[in-house]
Amino acid sequence: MQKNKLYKGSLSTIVLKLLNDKGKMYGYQITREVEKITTGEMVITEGALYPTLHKLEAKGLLSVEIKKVNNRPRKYYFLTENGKKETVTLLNEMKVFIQNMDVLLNPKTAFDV
Amino acid sequence: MFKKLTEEQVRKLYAFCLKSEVYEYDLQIEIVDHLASSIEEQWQNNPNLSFGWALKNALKKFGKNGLQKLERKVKKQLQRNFRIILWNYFFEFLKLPKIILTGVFSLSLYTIFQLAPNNTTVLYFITIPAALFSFYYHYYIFPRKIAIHSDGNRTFILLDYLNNVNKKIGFFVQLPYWVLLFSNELSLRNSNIWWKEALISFLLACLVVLFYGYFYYLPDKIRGYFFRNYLENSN
Repeated sequence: MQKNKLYKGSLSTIVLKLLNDKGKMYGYQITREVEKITTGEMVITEGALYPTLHKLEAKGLLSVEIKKVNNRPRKYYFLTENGKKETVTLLNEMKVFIQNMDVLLNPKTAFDV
Repeated sequence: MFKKLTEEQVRKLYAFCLKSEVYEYDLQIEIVDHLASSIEEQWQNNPNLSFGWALKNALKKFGKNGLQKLERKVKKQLQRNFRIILWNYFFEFLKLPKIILTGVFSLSLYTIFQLAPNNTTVLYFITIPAALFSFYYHYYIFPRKIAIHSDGNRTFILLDYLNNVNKKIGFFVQLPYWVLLFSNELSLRNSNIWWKEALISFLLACLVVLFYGYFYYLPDKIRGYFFRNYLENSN
């Protein structure tokens, strides 16, 4: 889907924001939650999600915990202290980015404000 | 109460991973849980759906050869992760307070180069013991103190990477040969050019830091992570 390319660069921010709101989450839960919030407009592929989770883990932003659930081990991801700080920074950057995009795409709005 | 996967069905999913050439248990855990969660979700809406059909539907989201593609991506990402860990460790030695250690070590080497009549001999004095130690590390330290032996049926991306560390020790075995090769090229033998000796001292100090980082610090991180997350869950 073409529109998903626009989201690709924001995947880390989306994952961090979700974990910030929900606490511990596992891979499948993250994909479903994103679909639910965006009413199916955004679909995170498994091929993009897991490498992103591992990257964030290596950066020290996420930590993992493996628990046995329904006859199988399940890997839960959660934010570290650094992860919580980074989420705040990334969300602020994202807000500024969205505002700038809005000004660029709707120049009139900029004058109105 | 919704329908859940039985132990037998979970075993089938692990077997499916193996059939799809995903051999590493650390990745299988995530794939199996992902597929199982998707199957259970389908059963919430349609409890009569067969396991086989539900699995087929769950796999659709991965796309064609999706599991192998995912495995390649995760492996690549893990290698990148280890590089990040190693470089972060290394750059710590170029910042305060650890830079003092790097500086003192570089300065000691520089002083030795300044005092010694023949720089090549000094380099042999450093690199030959390093090469001998590499053999000791490869055949004694690594297999007995660093390697982790999982049970015969399971492989782990983490452990593959850990074992790969031991293979890289060959680089240090070659160091005396490199000195032999480049000492004439760089006119090192009787060189008293201060910047050249300072540069070599600094590079050697960095090499020692990297040696420790790659062969002790990084394996220690991998071992810690492995024991924390997989050992108790590998049964």
